[in-house]
Amino acid sequence: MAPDTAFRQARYDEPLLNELKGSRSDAWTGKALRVFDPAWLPGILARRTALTLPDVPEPRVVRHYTRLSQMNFGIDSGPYPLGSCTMKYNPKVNEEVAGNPKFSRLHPASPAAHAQGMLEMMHKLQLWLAAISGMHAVTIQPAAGAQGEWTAMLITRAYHESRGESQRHEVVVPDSAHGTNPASAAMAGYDVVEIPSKDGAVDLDALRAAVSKEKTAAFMITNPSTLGLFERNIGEVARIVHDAGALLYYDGANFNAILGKTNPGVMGFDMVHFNLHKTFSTPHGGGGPGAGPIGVVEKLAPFLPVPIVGLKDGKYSLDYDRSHSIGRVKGYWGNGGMFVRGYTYIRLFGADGLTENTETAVLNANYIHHRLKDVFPTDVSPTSPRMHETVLSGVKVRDARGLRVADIAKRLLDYGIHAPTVYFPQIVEEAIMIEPTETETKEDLDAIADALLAIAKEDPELVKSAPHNTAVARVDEVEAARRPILTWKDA
Amino acid sequence: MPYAANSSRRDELLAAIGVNSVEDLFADVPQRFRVPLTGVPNGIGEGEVLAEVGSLLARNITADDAACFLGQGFYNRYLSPALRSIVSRSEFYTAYTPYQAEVSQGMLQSLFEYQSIVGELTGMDSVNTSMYDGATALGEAARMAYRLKEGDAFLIPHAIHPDKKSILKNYLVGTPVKLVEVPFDPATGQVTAKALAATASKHRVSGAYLESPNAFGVLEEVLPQAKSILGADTPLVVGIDPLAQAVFEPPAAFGADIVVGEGQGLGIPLQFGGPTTGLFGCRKEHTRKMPGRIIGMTHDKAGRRAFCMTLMTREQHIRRSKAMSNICTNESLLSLSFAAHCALLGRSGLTRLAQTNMGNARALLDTLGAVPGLRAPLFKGPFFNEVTVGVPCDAAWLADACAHDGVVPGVSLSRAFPELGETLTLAATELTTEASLVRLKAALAKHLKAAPKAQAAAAHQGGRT
Repeated sequence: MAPDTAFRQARYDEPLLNELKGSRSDAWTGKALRVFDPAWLPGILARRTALTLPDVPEPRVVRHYTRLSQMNFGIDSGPYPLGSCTMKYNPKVNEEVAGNPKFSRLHPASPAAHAQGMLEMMHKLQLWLAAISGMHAVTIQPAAGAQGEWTAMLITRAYHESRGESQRHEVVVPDSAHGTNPASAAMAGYDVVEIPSKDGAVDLDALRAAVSKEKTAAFMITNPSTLGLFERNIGEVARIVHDAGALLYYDGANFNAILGKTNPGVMGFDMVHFNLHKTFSTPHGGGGPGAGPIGVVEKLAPFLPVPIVGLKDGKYSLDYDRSHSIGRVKGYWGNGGMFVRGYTYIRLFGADGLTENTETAVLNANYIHHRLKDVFPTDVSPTSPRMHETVLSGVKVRDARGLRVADIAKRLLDYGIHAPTVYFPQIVEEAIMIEPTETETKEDLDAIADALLAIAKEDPELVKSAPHNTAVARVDEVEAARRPILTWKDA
Repeated sequence: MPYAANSSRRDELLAAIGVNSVEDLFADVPQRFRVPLTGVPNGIGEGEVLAEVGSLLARNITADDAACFLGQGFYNRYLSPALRSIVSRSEFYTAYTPYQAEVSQGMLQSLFEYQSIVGELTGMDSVNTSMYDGATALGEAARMAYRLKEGDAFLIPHAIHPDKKSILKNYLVGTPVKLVEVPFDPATGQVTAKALAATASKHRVSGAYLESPNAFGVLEEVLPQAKSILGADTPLVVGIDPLAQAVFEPPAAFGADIVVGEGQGLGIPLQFGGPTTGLFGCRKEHTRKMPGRIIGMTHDKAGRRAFCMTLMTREQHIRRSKAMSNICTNESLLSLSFAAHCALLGRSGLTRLAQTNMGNARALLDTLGAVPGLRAPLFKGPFFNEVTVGVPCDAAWLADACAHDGVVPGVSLSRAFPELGETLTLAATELTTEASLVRLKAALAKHLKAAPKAQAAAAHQGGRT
């Protein structure tokens, strides 16, 4: 069966590092000011176990990683419509800034007087994120969205405890929530209550039944939801939650759908997290780094982690003066490399450009939705406009042709297009979640849609045996979990 | 707008969809919630941004501009241009989490190699791809220890950085576990077997943490005995410096159940504290209780060697509120950088680098010992590349005064350890030179002469706690 797409990924039998034959390391390791004396090592702590790491000359190491990189697909390789993940183009100007040694060589324990430029950027970022979210105060310390969620749950605990209401032991989430929401709440010691959705929105009756003054600490929600739909009843949701004395949490994973059009503050949210690696274009690094700042309303500001970057008499400093602070959640000040990139992105686009990006992202998602809705129809609020992403369903194709969306996703890789998110949210059968972002052209959007429509008609065997044009064929994940080989020692 | 071609082709797309305006697509957002974005300036061009950000950053005084002896987990180290070149491959840095293994073999193999290298350094059988940093790795380790053994006390050394302790405390919120401190011997700066045994005997211990080097830079010689003191069923968590592990025995040999560490010192730029990577490994029998993402080796349908994410039923996207951790986005790219740096150094380079750091720290100590008024070293315990000295005046004042002269003489932990009086903790690396030591000595000598007495200087506050 000859797959006839134009994409070919590099395919090397590249050995593991420990399998490389080497001779010596010529790496520069500085000039020793004292000749090493083994007596410096306390005998009982000195290494006796051999260290398996080959000495390979630099050119071979560089080839190793160059070949591996060629067996990896990034947003620079092709369209990456991975729903919920906001895989937009990462502007190269961000990388230029992050590579500036005046930033990259700055030690985090430097005196404030030595870090005024960096602290000013962090301070401005705090202010801009507060303005963007309609929140009173922002901490940029959390390292990722999930850490931001957990930080907000720690603040939630501290807030209720300060009011003598530590009996509140439950956090409510909709069944469409990202897995991190229930996981973050549980990690902060809360019992998690999931409530069902109704036609793609929060079921208000279920919410009313779930929340109470006796036990509810917070309600966590993503808006637009993971179904790519704006929560029309958000005003009523906020009223129900606040009437019960609970806090309303905004999961910022989908912030790019509303930036500049509305904000969590006006919708009645008390806490917000941002994903700088989604909304503000910092690259995702094959799984990380990210940054997960959070913003809070005024009554929660005393509980924020310390320090916050402050400005006094024209000098920027790390301010520890916060009466009810929960303390720290991460070493030093957060992921500075993401701050300088996010700062650059916000400065580049500005209020006008960020708003335009929101509109373009929504327009692109609706265009994709329009192109695919007949072949991959959804029965979730089918006539509502989509926001930044669309969740379609492969049920019709499955029933007609016996294809699962997992197979369709794998086959899409052969077209040089990264797979969409599939089987999430779990409340949609055969879910295909597509987020094109604002940086794909109409031609790219058509390529994504054309490929999915073509696959739906392809020989089912070709699709089920996909991918064919990638570095390796379908990977046996079951075997990997059954007999874990986690280091080269096990191999 | 740059990088958003369709912003100039709206009409074409709107016509295809069959709606009149972009506003129609926002019909579900109630009018009363519509607010334009204010408080953020309008955009400027790429050239202007680069110039503006460049002049802001130019105000920083970095490790290139001043003689820097700062440490505490983050070290001023040499990173080769080859490393920068490898990590700048955009196929790596613009990828998402490798859910689609078939197009992600490069990242997956790199992370498998990272796990293997951390395994070599620590002796741990199972290693995850990263935690956010060393401190949060310790937080997760304390939670994991509690999953392995019930109890209400997690033992930590008193000689721990106060920031780390604050983070650890937050990671234990929602569990019944409280932190209990094991005192250090004021002569050596070390935890003694006697103190560890005495503290352990008074509590229902869920786990115990020891780090070597500790916050004072001192190596913990109690490590080989710790497991037998605590008992086989009490998880022992050991904190390491990955570079030091080139010359020190892996904690696995001493019975460690979990090893954590700050990864910055091997292959990650300073970047004002992040991103970095948090090392995390454990013994094989504990693997399914481990937090974080793990890469496994397997094969593809054609029998070729292949890699994929594995044991995912521990993670939030599968287990939701029952997951081992909420971590999702992690620090994969920094782990790749860590591994590539180790690969470029090789075994001999890594060992040489550790030895150079030790040698330069001895030269640093000699310099400090020759400055009148300093107690150098403050502790008799052995050290790797960081050393604590006693200072006869307010240490924060002294550090500030030296900083004005372009010498950053280290971190003061005096607030956290008032019983020690005023102290500074200084680090040497392979970038420490004779010239930088001469500058350090001159700055310290000059300002010590002018220093107010420790008590009079106590009014000088407002720094870090």
